[in-house]
Amino acid sequence: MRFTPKALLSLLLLVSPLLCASANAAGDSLRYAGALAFSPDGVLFVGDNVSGAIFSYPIGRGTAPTAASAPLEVDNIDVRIANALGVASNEVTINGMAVHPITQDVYLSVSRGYGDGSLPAIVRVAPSGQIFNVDLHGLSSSEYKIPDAPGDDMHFRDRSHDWPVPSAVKYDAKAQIPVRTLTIVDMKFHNGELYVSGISNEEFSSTLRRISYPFTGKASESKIRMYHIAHTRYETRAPVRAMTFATIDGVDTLIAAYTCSPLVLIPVSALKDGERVTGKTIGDMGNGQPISMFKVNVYGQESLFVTNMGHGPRYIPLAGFSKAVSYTPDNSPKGYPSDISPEYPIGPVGKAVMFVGASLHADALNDKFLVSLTRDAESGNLNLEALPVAPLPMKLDRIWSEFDFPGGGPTGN
Amino acid sequence: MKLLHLRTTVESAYQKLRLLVVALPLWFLSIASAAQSLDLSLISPSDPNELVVVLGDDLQKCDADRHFEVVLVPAKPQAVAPVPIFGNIVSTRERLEFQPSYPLDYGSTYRAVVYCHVGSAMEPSWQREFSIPGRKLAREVPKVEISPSATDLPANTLRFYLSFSTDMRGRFNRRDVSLRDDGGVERSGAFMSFGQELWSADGRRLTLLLDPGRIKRGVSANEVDGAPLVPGRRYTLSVLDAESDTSRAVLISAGFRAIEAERRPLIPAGWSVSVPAADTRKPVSLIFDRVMDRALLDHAFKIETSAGEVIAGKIQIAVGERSVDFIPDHPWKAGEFAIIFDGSLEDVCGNRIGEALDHEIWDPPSIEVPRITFPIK
Repeated sequence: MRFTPKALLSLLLLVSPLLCASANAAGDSLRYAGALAFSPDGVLFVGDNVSGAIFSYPIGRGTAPTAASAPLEVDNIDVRIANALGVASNEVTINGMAVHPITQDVYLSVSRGYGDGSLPAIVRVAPSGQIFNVDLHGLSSSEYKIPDAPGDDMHFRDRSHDWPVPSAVKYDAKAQIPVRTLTIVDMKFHNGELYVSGISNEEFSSTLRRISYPFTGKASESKIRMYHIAHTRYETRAPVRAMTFATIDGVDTLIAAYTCSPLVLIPVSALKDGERVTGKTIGDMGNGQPISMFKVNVYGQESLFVTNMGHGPRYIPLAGFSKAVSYTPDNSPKGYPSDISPEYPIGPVGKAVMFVGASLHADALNDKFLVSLTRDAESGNLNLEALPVAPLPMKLDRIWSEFDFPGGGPTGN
Repeated sequence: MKLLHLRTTVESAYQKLRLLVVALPLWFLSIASAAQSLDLSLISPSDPNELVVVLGDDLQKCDADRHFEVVLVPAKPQAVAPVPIFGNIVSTRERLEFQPSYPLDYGSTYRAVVYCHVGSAMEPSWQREFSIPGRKLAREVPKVEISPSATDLPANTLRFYLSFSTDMRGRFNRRDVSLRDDGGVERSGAFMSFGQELWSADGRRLTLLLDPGRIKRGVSANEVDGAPLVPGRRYTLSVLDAESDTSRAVLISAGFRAIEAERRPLIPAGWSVSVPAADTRKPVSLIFDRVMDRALLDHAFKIETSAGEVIAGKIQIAVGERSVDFIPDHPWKAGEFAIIFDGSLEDVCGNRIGEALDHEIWDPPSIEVPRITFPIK
């Protein structure tokens, strides 16, 4: 029997789904565009919680923006993206964001439509504010298939009797969402590897995956346990919501933020395949759910910028992490401390900073600016905006103070 | 006469479902350039997501500075002018081809615009609106059942289920459900709207939840709008065919009358059991005091012997969801049996054993023994 090239190709196509890492025709395989991350060389990683896979797209290094253009400001970004995808604004959801490390283009992952009929899209917003489609079909992608992603049949617990609001019906609906929606929560590229926080299909589900790139199908997977100060117990299920890396006391360290809202240090060297790792809880930012975490330089002080679904963002100087106390059941506040407890927040967790509106996603843009997808406080509009790291990440067009009155400027009295 | 053709087709998301896609005719809403003719046909049946404008002489003249775009025509006013939709344009002197990066959406209206230089400005020299009608597929019409099937339903009924004969995820939209009262007023706004539709794992059952704000007492929507269902009134729940051409044919409809709200917890002691004789495979019938949740009933109880051995068998839920038959795989043996209920069992209003849905905040659930014992002789 002779194999024609076409027959060989067909055979390859048949076999390819069996391989963990395989080249494929890009956009065809991506079913959901969620968490985003870039490598320093401009490889875009897209987390797909429906396929249980991560897709890589070599966008390229590109060039840094030359002219000092006006800071990025795109009002009603959701309406613009929706229209460009051919639909009305209520038909799109922006799931993730990452900034290209060289070109400073902002990449957004988007769902057009809802549920299983939705289409994934990646949109690029140039420093000029112009919006472009990222043609995934035109890029040679590769895929890392997560071997132990939760199946469709695992669901969240019904919490209708934990809390008086919202109605039991909404908790019932929440409990019908598959837990696989948390397979890939945050991704960061660090020293040649993609780090992925999320969950696996085991009861000890909180998982950190280290995936070398280019994808080979192999990855190191560690289970992460940490002491949750507010819940007064060690936890192993809920995933790391946001993470970044820094050298703390000379050790390459992964900094992890959890819901309600521990800050946890994990030496990168501890993240070995099959290990169960207990992170060092060094503080708690208060209740709420972290969204984005990245490094910024605030007047020469290297700091974290952390956004949160339940609070305004925080600046957290990294210097405070040196020799930080580890919180355990022995030295933590007793009872169930919360935002209204005098102990909260706990540890070297910096300060809440002024921010107008709610940041849904944020990332570092350049030395001076960060970029935020912000839900405006008054109008509810969704805007993409560059904000100065210092002195404060905010705008003055939505607040009225003494300074707004004639004669009341900064030099007045 | 100027010659101008607009040809367009729409890729279907259903290609992914490997169903046969056929071309959609367009509905032209307005004709900006009345003298220009139209030609509707497919460029390629295998790649139908392509729109072509064959240009008239006047537009051919401006081919050096021509600009072409397609924009969404928003159904409602929006804050910003529509950004042109993503796509690839191939432009020659005689024609423009446009391939949208994402399929044009069913039920949406678009405007194709050709701009030419007029003096120093680019101005729209030709434009045309077109809309993509409902979905049309070569397909079998799915069968669908509505539950609850009871004809009297409490005003605080919580869930309806649509059970389809096939996986309908991505093929069915909640907008295709209509709830009308006996005055003919559309009440489908009573159903909750989520970002995520509530499909079963096999994609064959869709759960529709009535807006809890309109069900629970003391929640403002309830106080303002009243309960979604009013006792004494009649309602018709209809499922429309999302994939029919334009008429949105009714696939199925169910009528019911709203009765007084049910706010009591489930109390198994109040239910009756009819018991067959030993050595038969006749059913044990469990008769409830109210309409039960159809989907939860499927897995919510088991029958054990006094030694704790689980009896294998099948259940049959009666029309109206007020009783269920358990048919054993093997004949009953004489002895004591117990029906053991799962904590997930709910009536059609979401009330559980010992615990009403609409209870006072943080009231501990009352302790009810979730079992009924019966002898077979």
